[in-house]
Amino acid sequence: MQILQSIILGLPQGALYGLMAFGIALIFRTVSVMNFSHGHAGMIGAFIAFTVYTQVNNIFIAIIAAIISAFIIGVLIEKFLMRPVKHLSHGAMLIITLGLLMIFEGLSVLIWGTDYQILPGIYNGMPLIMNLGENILVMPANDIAVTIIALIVSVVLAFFLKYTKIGTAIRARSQDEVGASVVGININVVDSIVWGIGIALSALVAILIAPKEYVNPNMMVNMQLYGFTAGVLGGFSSLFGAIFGGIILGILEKIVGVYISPDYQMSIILILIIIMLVVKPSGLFGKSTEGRV
Amino acid sequence: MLKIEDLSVNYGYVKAVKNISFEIKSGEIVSILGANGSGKTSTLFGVMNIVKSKGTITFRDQNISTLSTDKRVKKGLILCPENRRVFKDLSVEENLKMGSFSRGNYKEGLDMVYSLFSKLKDRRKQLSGSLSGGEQQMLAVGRALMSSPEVLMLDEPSLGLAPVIVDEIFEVLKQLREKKVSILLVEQNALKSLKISDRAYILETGKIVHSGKAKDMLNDEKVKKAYLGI
Repeated sequence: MQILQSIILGLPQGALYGLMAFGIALIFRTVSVMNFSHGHAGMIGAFIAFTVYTQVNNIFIAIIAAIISAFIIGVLIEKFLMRPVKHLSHGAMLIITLGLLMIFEGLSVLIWGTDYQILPGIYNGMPLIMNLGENILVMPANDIAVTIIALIVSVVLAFFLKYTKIGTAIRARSQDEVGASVVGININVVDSIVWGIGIALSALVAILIAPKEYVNPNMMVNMQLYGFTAGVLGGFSSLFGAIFGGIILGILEKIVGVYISPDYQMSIILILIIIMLVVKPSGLFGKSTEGRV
Repeated sequence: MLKIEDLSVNYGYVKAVKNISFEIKSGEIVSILGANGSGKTSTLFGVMNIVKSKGTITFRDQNISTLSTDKRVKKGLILCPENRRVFKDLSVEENLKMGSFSRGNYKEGLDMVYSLFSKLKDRRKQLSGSLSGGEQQMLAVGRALMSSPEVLMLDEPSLGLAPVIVDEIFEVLKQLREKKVSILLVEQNALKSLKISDRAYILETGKIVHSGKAKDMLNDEKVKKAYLGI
């Protein structure tokens, strides 16, 4: 029954990897840039949540404020950093995101310092206790809340992209920029929205893992790495592949931890990615590869 | 209706379009003819502001030179771009819906497009990437029509298509003229486009080298030999 236990314990973590990958893949598909500063931008969001929380002492107001701020950060990144180099080269955009990574890290140290700050969980009720034959599985209430939030956000985003006019416009723009221009879609507005959503998702992930990792400048380094990995696993060409990739990754991580050793969690997963890239570079759910850098 | 003066398009140091001027009157079909690389697509991209351009563009007596692409679309300048440029992972119907993104009535447009291209109706739930080249071209034209164009610009609508389908698309253009839509047609298929056009311009290395009535061009042996290869 240990395997079932791993699956259940892996879900909350996997759902967060999935959300992270979703944001990275959304930005990658739409504006074709790998955002290396994705995690750190989310970390800034978590610090904003922390600051607001110390003022108002209400976690929900803190979360909403942080997500709105993160959305604005995303829009500003697009408007002032990405737009001027949009048609020059993907390389330039990539380097800018690397620069942003360092800027966010430096800024957070300057403003908030390097201390580990505490942000409370969303829901601190009774843990869920499951009786699995001989084993007893204890799942913290906050983990359940995190999984549910991650699932709801994924479903809402899926509906948004599939059925709303602006969501369809985002997909259209990611498939053909000229085609989108000639039907009257404002490319710059769509790109801003995509950056906003992406960074807001990263901030949400950062806030949701804050009870475990504490709020600190390096809190999202692993998330960034796992987010990429989940994206590669599921396939960057499919947004839902990214979410499933994340969930699979979370579960695999736990299984490796239980059956092999927690020390090898990261390395085995990274080896898996190399195998994935060799065997099926488009990912588990991906379609044929596109020539993007 | 649409008047272009001194339009230039540069890509870095390469001058693709050099100070050309032309106009389209209401309800006219005007052709821009020319070989590969003569600047036809760049001209249309300049008119739509998809690439940066210099010059004055006047639409319905209003200077629109400073407007962004989406604002020009809103005014009714609709381009059906070269190579179809349909959204391959969107269904046929979603593609058409995007056609009415900023202009046009979705329901009315859909009825009109389906009545013009009945094949699209049969395939409306299919991903457009799975359509044949001809069907994708119909979809591209259909998507442009969804925006209820005032001036419809078509870039190589016959590219790579079977003659039957080309005839079908040209038939649709004739029907559109009757509905008072102005059409700017960019084509390599000179003979075919001259036959349905009122006037034509011939582009060579970014300059207009000849212009006049389409009928006169069809009868002018010199023009036919020198520029049209007929």
